[in-house]
Amino acid sequence: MTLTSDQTLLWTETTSSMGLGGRMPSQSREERRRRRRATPKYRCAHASRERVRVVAFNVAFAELRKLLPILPPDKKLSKIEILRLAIRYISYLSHVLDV
Amino acid sequence: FSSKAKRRRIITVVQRQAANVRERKRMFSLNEAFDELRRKVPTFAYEKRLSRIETLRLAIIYISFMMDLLE
Repeated sequence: MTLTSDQTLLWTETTSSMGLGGRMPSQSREERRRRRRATPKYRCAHASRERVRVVAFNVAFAELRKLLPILPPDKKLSKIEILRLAIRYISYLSHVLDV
Repeated sequence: FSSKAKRRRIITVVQRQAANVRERKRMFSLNEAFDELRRKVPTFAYEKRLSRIETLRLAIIYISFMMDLLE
């Protein structure tokens, strides 16, 4: 008799919670991870890391915008516009260079 | 005059769902544009697929490089 994947998952989670199979702690890896992530300290640090990540992302968009020949040079472009213009500009530049 | 006390924004479930759908569509078209930019930029092998931030940074380098070549 072969177990389905759902049955296998239930079996491993139950036995590891019970401390069988050489696992001494009562919590599975997944449960330990959830505990660790639930604390306010972790959430705070994670939010911080996410803010830094988003800022870096937006800075990269701004740097790309600076390279695009759009008048006026300080015209605000949305992210999707920056991407689409960059695609067209790259096509244009490589076309010019290939001649 | 605007009131000093901030009104709490009441939003229905239907409005929230509609907003979620709009946002999903917006993200989908943004990610499609990222895919297109990935195709224009060197190293488009699927196993080494560039992340979004890497795609932006490489596009910056690549465009600067091509502009320098034009001088």
